[in-house]
Amino acid sequence: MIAIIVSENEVFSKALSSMISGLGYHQALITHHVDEASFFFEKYNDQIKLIIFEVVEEGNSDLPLARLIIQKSELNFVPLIFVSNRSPKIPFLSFHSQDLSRIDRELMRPFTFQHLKQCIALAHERRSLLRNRLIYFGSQHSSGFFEAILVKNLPMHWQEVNVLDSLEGLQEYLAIHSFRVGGILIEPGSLSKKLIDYLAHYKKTTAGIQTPYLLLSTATHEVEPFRLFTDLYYDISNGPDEILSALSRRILYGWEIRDLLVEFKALIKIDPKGTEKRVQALLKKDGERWELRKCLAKMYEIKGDSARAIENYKRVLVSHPCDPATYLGLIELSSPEEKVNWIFQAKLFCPNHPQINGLRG
Amino acid sequence: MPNRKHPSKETTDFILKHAKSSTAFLTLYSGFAYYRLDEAEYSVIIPYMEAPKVRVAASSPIISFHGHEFTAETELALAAESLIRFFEESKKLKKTCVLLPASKALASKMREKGYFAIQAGSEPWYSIKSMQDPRREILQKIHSAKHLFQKGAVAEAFIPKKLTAREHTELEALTHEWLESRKISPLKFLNRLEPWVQSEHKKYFRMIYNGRQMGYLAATPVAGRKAWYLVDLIRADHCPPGTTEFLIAEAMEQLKKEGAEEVTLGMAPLTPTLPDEFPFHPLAYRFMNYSFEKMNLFYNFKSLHAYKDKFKPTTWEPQYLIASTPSLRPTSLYGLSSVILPQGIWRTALGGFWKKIKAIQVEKTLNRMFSPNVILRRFPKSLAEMIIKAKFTLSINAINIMFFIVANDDKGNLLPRFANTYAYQWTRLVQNRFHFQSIDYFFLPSFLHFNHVHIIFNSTLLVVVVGYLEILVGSFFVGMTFTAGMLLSNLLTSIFFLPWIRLLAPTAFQLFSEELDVGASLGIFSCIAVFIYFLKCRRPVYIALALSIVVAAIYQNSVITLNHLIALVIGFGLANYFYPLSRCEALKAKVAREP
Repeated sequence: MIAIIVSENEVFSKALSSMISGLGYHQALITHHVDEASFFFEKYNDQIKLIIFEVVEEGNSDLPLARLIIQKSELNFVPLIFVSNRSPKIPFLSFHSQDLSRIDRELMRPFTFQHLKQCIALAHERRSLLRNRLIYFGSQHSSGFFEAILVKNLPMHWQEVNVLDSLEGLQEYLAIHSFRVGGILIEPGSLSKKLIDYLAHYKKTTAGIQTPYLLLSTATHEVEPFRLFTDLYYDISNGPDEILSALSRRILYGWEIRDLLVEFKALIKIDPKGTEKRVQALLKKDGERWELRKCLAKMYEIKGDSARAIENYKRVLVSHPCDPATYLGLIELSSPEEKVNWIFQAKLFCPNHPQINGLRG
Repeated sequence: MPNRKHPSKETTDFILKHAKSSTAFLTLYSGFAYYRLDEAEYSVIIPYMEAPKVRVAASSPIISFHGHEFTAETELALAAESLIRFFEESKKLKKTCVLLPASKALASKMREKGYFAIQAGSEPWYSIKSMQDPRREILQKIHSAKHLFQKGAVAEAFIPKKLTAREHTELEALTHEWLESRKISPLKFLNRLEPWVQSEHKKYFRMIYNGRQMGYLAATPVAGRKAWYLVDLIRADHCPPGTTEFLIAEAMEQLKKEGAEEVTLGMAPLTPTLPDEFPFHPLAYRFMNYSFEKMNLFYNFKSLHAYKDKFKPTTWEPQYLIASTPSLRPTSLYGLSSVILPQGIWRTALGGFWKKIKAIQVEKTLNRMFSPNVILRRFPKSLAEMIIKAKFTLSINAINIMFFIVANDDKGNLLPRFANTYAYQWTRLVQNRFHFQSIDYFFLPSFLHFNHVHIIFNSTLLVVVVGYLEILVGSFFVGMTFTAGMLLSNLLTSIFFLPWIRLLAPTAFQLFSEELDVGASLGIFSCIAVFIYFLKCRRPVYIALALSIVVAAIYQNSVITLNHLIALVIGFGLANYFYPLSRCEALKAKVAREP
């Protein structure tokens, strides 16, 4: 993940670069030159995940550069943040109105690390709205999803469902629209091995990492081929509304939650109370995010509140029955009778996991 | 012969074909004159510059033999003889002469004949003929260049005429940037930066990194030695480490492929004297060696030598200054300096000082004291911008001064009627039972001052601290903080501390509740608290300031002085609310990523 900082001010660029490194971006590239920026865009292309730029005054060289960024269609999915010095009450002077809409957030100086984090999260959320297309693999239940999106007009960001039934069709579609795809719904039983292999491979690409897969089944035998690369598991009986809402929230709040998940192990050591508050606050946005439930369960486990820990681990399994760490947590905390059941279930859903394999039950 | 704008084609061809000194090509730039000797068997050109009372020769005599070759010894003798004739002719015109640079052999020869010669520096020569793969060998020696190569930097030859307009503009900007970064004003004589002059005879190389040109060099031919002089080495201010080294490595590689045998980077002045030279001018050499070590303020003697040494030259050839007199006269030195430093020593030195001052990056320097977890507004680029950004501070200051004029007597002391009516006093506040009129008690006292010292002190703090803070965080926040401190500090001080006084020292309660307070310091201290909040080491500063206030209160036997402490708390509270810097979020994230 690469962030690009566009500014002529060395002090600002370096300070911002240092802050951004603390947010999980592998590299922060600084530029104030049009050619260098173009070079970065071509070289790093789909690795660029954030652009922050500063325009100080009209006529500054940052301005043509800022316009270049705005006009490059391949960067349409990259959050764009504009840092200004202006007072809140003074209107934009440097941009024409059409340029303004592309800017996801404005960040006013002075700002702290927390302000930056919040701003980036909101910018990501805004950009995520563009990822409003779904791919549906299967035929039995697709109509329900069409209806949910087009007819019911539910409060979520999906605009389109594309029903595909072949590997070639999928490859062709992803080649053109990969960054517009917000999720792939899979009806098990309808996919060939070649297709499954392709999905597994795609999951490892830059676009694929950001595209959640949702399997429309929680049955053991149907889950097996997908368990290593699927993000969510929902039974079709949950209904398209719930499924689509869960997927929508996953996309929109993805950055903010990812940021917490990456820091989680350190945060629970440094600031357990603050971390718990953060997790609870994020759960209010995406209550069914299984990763957050797992974090919460872990925190309760550390605190010694086994009952709550178990409750949260169980909730993880509702949307992700294939997570080995959850089973291990449940096995650790449960009574001997329940332990046997959990071991049995773990071996069903995580058959090749070495720690689970070693359990007796 | 007068100095000419451009040499004739004949002279140019002569120098290009026969010069063995690296500086000879540079004498094809404008401003040089040429002393020519034509004999039956040979011709000689000595390029020089005219200065008042002095002629400064810029190259050892360039000799062309008609027909058969002569031995090196004969060539040396002819060079010495030509030089002497040049000296004699100049003497007739009542001019002394100086030659810089000259080889050791020529200097020794001239010394034998009674002329003055002193080692002025050394020139590194690199035998690329003996290198198998110059680029690889240099990259092995210089890791920064190797690292740059591995990161995808590209160095290539280019022709100026084939550059696009954008590329040319970029190189010009680079050159300008480089010149601005030099310690002193551009030098002349053989130190001129004119990369595009005589470009048809030069070779050029540039380094491209991340799609941008980061540096370039121009090489001039030294045909007599099948060598090239890498004369102009320019890099961008923000270029990655290893840029110039990478360029030099590539240039050597390309030049070797084209048949060159040697490369030089030019003379490094005042390099350590050769041991056998010392006895000739011990005092002078001692001074020169001292200058090399210690006097690098205006010219990087030592680092320049170290840089050229990095490439492990095959030889360091000493370079000499030869004068047409038995000793170096002040007029000769003056003439030489007027040629190299056309603005004169003092103006060049002053220019250097001024450059140093201009190079101080105020914003960068000041920014070092602030926490890395906050980004403040950028520093103004001009005085006008500074004034506009500090409008609140300047307005408050103006109001303070206006009130001072109205409310203070000729000696600067606060008039009793203002003190008794408008100064803050807890007793009066309670008596008026916080009626609307008593609102004055909260903000009017801030604009009054007891005396000259009081207002000068507060005005200074206001402009320096509050004004700077306003530039950094904006007028709105500073205005809010100042106003909060101004309105609330006294009231909260009285509410918080007076009950304790009544409880613990009831006899003193009356005295303390009648204390008067005026001055802008409460708003100022709130803003000071905000300023400290953004510092790296804020905790010790807060503690030190709080303790000072407490000590001052005890010393003055005054409870109301503690209002400054309350003002600090108000400022801290506001800063913490609007700009939370909770226990280093960035540090947490960094810890999380450690293995």
